[in-house]
Amino acid sequence: MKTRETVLYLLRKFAKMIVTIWLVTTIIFFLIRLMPSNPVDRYIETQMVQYGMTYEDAKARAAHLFSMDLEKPVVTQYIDYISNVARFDFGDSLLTPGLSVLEIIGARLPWTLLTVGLGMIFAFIFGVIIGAALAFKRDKWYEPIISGFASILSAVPDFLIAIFIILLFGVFKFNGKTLMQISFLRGNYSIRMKPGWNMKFIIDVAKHTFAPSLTYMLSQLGVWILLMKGSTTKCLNTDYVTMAKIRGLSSGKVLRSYIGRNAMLPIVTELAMRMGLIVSGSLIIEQLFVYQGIGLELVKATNGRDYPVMQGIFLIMSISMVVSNFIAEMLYAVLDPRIKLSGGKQNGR
Amino acid sequence: MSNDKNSLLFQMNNVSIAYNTKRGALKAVQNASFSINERESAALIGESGCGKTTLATSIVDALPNAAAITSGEMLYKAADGKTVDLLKLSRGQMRRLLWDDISMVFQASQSSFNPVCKIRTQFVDTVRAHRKGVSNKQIDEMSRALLETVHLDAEKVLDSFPHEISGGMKQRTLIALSLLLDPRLVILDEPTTALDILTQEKILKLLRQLKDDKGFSLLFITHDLSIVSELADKVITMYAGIIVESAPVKEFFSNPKHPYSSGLIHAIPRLTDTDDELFSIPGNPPDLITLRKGCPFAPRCSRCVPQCHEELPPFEQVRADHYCACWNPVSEGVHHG
Ligand SMILES: Nc1ncnc2c1ncn2[C@@H]1O[C@H](COP(=O)(O)OP(=O)(O)OP(=O)(O)O)[C@@H](O)[C@H]1O
Ligand code: SF4
Ligand SMILES: [Mg+2]
Repeated sequence: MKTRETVLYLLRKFAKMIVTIWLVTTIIFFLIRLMPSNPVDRYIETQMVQYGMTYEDAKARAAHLFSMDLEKPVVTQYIDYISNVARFDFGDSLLTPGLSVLEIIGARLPWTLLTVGLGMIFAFIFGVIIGAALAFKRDKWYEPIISGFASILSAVPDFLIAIFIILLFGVFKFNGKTLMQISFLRGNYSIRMKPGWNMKFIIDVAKHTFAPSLTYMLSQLGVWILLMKGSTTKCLNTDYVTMAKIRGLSSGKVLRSYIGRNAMLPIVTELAMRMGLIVSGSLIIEQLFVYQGIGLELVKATNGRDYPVMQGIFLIMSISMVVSNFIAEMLYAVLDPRIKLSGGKQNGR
Repeated sequence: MSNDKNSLLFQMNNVSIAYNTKRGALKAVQNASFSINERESAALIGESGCGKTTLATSIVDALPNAAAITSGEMLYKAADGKTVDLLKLSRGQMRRLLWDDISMVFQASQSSFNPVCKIRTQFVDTVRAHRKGVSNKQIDEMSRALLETVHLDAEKVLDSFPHEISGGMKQRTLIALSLLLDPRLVILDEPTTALDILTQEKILKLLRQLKDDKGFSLLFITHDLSIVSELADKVITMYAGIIVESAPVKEFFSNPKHPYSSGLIHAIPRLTDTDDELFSIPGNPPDLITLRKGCPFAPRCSRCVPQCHEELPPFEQVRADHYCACWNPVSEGVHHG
């Protein structure tokens, strides 16, 4: 009975996710094609003006690059496009001919997942620990100081944090030395290094990852502290926690099963949701650290009007948002029994 | 028999509790003294906001952070015959006493269960916190037996999440839970408010019977004097944070000494009353932050004498087992003037 309900619920949510992804994909298709002065026309124009190509040549080239046949009716184009996207075929890059968009994404995305992902995980871990501790120490003198610091941290834009990190580690001298060689604050790994699964390379990558990861971690830490503090404080004051204490449960048990589980509920789903923001979170940080990830690639593509790459990255960004929302909903359904499996809405307390 | 009705189980002496508020200290309980004997059932009554819940929760060390016990002692005679002051116990010692010896069901009991755990888990947690080496099967049997005595479908309730059972079921489940470890003192804050009249009747009958069978003492808070007459051996009346009267139930109804108690009794509508005019106490209780000197009931009291405005009346014995704090108590046979 329960299992059947759960499976149906999962299926419904999954269908919703697929529909959303389809909608997003469709919107991107029409945005790029049907807008006045759309990228395809712009590309054709540029080719004609700059390289003196004929309209036909330029159009044929555009059709190839955007992997669509511009002669076909829009409906056919649309069907082709959707079936290509379904096979993760986003066409070829304009700036680096011969490389498919998928190859570019495949080469860049792992780097972003590494730096921004690590930053996010550490921000989550530290934020949860500090936030929970603050909730318990609400009457201590240092609580408002740390909370205030967290608020400030959550409001400071990430490029300021990045600049601060660069100054702190690469510019300021302590005992005549900077904390890090400035070369570690640029790029993914040292130029002379040959990529491979050896210790030397891994350590080099780790050193290069440190600063951008730390920047992303700091930019997210404040939010996690405040979220966790709020969530824990709310749980501490509930009747069920007081009741658990009156029942003589040990403080460890109360902390784990009564405060912890309930306080973590919204936090864990928030984490799942924020996973979808990794790509967009990388934009500014990767520029400042010249880190060759998906964010920097998107900036380059935008500057160079590499529409297929832009389209591919936007698709990846949107899809990861939708998928992480789906995961968040799943988690909530698993962790919170109050989720009505029939409607997917939360019961009031 | 060792636990006859006259052996003292719990005694509160001169306990004062204040809430730290933005406007200043709110004196929710002042100099409260009362006692409960073994197997005795005491009712705590008084207008809303007079400090009943505060007084009761202080016993189980569950006051909100803003509250502090500023003075007094709470003597509890443990099962081994030793008397301890609950306020002086270490956290660990207190933890062992809680639920095993003293249990409590909250006034707003609707959210007393952890929303993400099944009821069964919370019964199991409770036993595990106090008893070593009890099997899950034994805990199940104990829980089921109690849930059935409060007229619940035990299997269904144990397998439910808190949000899946109704408010009245939750309250009965909590009453069952409060008896799980055979406590010696059970505190119930308005135990039947979420229940319809019929269920309320059943629960009251049940409580009386359980109390006799299991031999626990009861401290319950209520606004309903009919429940008092049915369930209480002793009545403790509070007004504006002060215990103004403590009397055996018969005497409370037949011969109340404090004008406020007398007023409460006469505020009950009676089907037998010929005149349909209901006596009610004029005015409102005072603000507990800006209390004036003298008796706090003075502005509303019909028996007020000049001294009442000057000095707080002491809580004194007026008869056997009967205490009252009033300069001009109601005389025998006269009810209200
Ligand atoms: N957390 C709190 N902070 C500040 N003041 C409080 C707090 N809880 C209660 N009070 C105040 O303490 C006084 C006593 O409250 P209490 O809850 O003990 O009343 P009560 O007699 O149980 O009332 P009721 O019959 O409505 O349940 C009230 O004046 C109330 O405003
Ligand atoms: S002390 Fe005075 S004012 Fe207070 S209840 Fe008694 S008679 Fe009334
Ligand atoms: Mg109350």
